[in-house]
Amino acid sequence: MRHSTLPRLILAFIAAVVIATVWGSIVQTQFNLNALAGIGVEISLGVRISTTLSDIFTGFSLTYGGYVILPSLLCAFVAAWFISRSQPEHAILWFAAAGTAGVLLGNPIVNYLSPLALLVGATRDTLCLLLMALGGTLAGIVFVSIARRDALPHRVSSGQHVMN
Amino acid sequence: MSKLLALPLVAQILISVWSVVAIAQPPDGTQLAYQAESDYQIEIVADQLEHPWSVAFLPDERMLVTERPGRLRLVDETGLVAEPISGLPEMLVSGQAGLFDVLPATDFASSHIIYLSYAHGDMDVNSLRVARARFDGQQLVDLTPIFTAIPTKSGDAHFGGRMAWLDDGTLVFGTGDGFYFREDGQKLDTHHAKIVRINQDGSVPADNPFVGQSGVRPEIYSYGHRHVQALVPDGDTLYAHEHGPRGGDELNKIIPGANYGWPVISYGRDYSRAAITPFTEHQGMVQPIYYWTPSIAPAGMTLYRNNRFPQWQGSLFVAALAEESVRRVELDAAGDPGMQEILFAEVGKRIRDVRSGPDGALYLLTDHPEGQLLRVVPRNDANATENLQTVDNRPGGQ
Repeated sequence: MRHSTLPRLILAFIAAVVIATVWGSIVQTQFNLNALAGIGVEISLGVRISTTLSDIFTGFSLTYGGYVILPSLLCAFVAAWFISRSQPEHAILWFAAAGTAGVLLGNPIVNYLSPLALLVGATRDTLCLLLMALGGTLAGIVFVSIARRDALPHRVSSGQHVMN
Repeated sequence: MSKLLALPLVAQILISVWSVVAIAQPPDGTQLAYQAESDYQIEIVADQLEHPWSVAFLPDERMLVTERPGRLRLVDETGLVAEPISGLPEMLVSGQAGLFDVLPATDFASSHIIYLSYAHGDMDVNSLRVARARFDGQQLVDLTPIFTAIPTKSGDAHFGGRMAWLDDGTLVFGTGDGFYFREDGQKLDTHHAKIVRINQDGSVPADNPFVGQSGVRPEIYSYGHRHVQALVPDGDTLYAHEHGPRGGDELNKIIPGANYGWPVISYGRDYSRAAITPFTEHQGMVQPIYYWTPSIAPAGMTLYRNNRFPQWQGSLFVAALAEESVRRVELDAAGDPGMQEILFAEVGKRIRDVRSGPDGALYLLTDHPEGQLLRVVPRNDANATENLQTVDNRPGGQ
């Protein structure tokens, strides 16, 4: 790996973590508010927006991003990196799939390792977890897009590939 | 591009750090005091108790102690009786589930009846159950379930289980939301997340607040509770406290039929720091008389009415698991909380239960695999029990 590509990889990874975290935060807020609406509580658009922003900026993101997304995407992207060595032309697909799987697996693994029954309460609804995992998909696409071709495994000629 | 992406992250980190600092402040400026020069001493009455959960006093100075893994132990004048009391029912023992409270009948001296609360079922299908049985001195006989929470649920968390007698002879006890079913707090067709009131035989008191209403469990006394941890009657007042999530542990005065709001209102956030609800107040929902943020994780509770510690007369004592202490909460003439004092932190253990003994001492249970039954008596008390090991609670003591 050339030194010049490292900052770009780090930037790409930070962007991927932020996107997956913010996406997950937005999704889980809607599920929590919908659960309240389901027992007859009126949730206005203003309350929905302020609660969504509150979750993004006052705590949830740090917990979710730090405990779930960061380690999950790190492991997932390392796996995708190695897979991409043999199929560099499909890197974006591998990273998107890895990001998705990382979020899907990361949540239950963190729950298992933590003393709490459920770190992210909204994921008691499987649909919420599935939608949060789309943040991992986006994260994979963004990671590859920012890292660019020369920072990822790529073919320099037919039948060869380069690990930077 | 890189600056653009870095800005939200930096802002998020700064705001999150700020929120952690902000949430650590006392909620309303309540005065706190620490016991600098203790005027009590702590004796070890029994140890080698596995996660003891509740202690009850029998008329003949013996004590019953529940252990969460499903054992009921007897403590007599010689200490902990080696053999657990036999005749207990099968129960779910996992996580927070197991044997919870023990409560002697109001006429125990003549009937020898005790009441037990425990988790009944398995991991997939379970409920809080209350049963009564006769204690013949060595074993339980004629054990009869008198209440099983409906509907059954899965999981091994948030059962509630604390029981108390009201002055009219009815039995009240708290339940929990099962952790995964918090919306049940607002549903009256389920016993989850409620305070329940029944007669001594399990029948429904005719004056329960929801008797006769269609689609409502008639045993419900109040609702909207997350995970009730203690109930203490004082005349016409019933105090209860409950675990909040991350913050928002509540002390409440219970009004029959009232809605205490969970999960629509709460002063806590989810363990992930997500908002469980954006509301702390809502029409028709009762406010706590006090809330603890950050959480102390309240457990047992007692109202001290004895002259052995005259300075503690009339105070509520709240065992705290997370804070590893007991909170003494002074009550004003209206029964509302005033100054609080943090006691027994020198024990250095999670405190599961605190009770006022008939001898005027305070009794504590530590929540550990090798838990202890402790007795708090005045320092240099003439009535202190001889030959008991003590916990040195003086500053610098071991």
